[in-house]
Amino acid sequence: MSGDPYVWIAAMLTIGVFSFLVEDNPVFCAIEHLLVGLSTGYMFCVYWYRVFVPELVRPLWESGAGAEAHLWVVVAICVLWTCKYIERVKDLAKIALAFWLAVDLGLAIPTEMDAGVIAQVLGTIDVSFDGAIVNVVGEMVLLVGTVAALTYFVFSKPHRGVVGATAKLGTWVLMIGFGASFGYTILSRIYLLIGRVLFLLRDWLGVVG
Amino acid sequence: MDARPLLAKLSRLDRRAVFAAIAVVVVLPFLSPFDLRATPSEATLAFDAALEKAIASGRPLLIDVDFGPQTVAEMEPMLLAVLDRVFAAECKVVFVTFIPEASSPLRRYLERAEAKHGLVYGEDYVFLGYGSAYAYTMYGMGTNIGAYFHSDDRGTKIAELPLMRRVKSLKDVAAVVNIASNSFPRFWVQYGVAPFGFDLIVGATAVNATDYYPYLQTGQIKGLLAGGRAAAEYEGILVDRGVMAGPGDATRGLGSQSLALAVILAFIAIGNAAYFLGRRGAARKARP
Repeated sequence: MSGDPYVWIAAMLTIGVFSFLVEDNPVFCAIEHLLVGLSTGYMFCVYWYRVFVPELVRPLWESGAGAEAHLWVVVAICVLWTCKYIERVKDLAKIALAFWLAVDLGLAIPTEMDAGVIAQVLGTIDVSFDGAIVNVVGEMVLLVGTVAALTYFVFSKPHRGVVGATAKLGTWVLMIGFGASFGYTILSRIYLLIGRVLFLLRDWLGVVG
Repeated sequence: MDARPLLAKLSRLDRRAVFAAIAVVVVLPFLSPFDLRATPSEATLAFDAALEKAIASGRPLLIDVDFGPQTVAEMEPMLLAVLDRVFAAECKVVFVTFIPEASSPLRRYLERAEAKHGLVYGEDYVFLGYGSAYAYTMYGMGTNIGAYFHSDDRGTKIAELPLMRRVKSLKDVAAVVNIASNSFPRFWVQYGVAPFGFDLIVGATAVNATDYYPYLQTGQIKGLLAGGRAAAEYEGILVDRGVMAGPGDATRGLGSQSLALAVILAFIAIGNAAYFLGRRGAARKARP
């Protein structure tokens, strides 16, 4: 059995969290609050010491209006954001919001068109009939499945006739997709449980080598 | 014999009995000899091939580690296997993270790797630390890493690190390896691969894996380790190659995983059988 007090604390907390499986209880609630508090405090420290101080405060403190003077623009945007808490000047926060949206969308739209739309459409319609029969069938399933799933989301036409049949096929494709996703989720969750069990058996109790 | 009363009773089973059954089958394989090996999938083989190609190029790698304590069980074996592979090949590596809670565990992994492989910080590897505003940073690193990371995780100026003199931007790395439990591989595709065209190799949780298969199919991701099972597959490859002395935690978890999945499938089958038989019985009763 481990002699490390930190391992004991971790083991007790793990068992405390598992106690929720029996029923909700004050120990679980206390651990839940402890986790939220610790995470928030930890992240605040990381942001403060890794970002706010070294990237903004220190360069401004050291250079003043010198080489890092452009950082005053960042300070101005930060100040504008906080204006939303003051009734008389709350509209000034919209300037910061507009700046942020413009920069974000300016970066996101062209890259998403390239990576998420064009490349994916080309990948979907790339059916070559000179490969192995399994690959050809796979590519056809992908193409037909994608079109069918997209048809399901066409609400401007009534789902009758060909559109209805394609949309019906689309629901099957979506269900298979959700099923695969859910299957993978179970796999992930089981591995998380395995990790905790291995910690208890090996690191805490020492019954597994 | 009429199985319906038994199935009806099972369908009303206390959920705590299900939890207990799962707990038993997860614990048992660790206490008894239960040696399983996973056959590598196509995605895992692609991951291995892409990483080997990057190592063979002789150029440094950039490894972005984006997982926190909550997914350590699934992601840690994956990262440790990759660290063993790249450092055994004496590949130079620049590490970075875009989530705050990954910094501390990553420091610990790197300390252990440094001792195990006799690495020299600054020459064999560098940890840039936590990078904020991931989208802008990923995009900016394509042209100038130094503009986004003025100092590394230890506070040393980037210009003073010998390895960083070779790695000015993502154009100088053989590939970007992203071991992530979130959506960051997708952002690497969007803000890195699309504008700059480098090779991206991904290790992800099984939950996220289905989101990345389309990118693997289009070649935007060169290789994919999809969850703990894929980590076990990769461990097997490295053990066979003599890179790892023995299987890691992902392989050790295969027995528990297999039994737990079998029990879950059994419960699903029982639940469905009880539901359909119960519905048929109710329909018969309702008939005049």
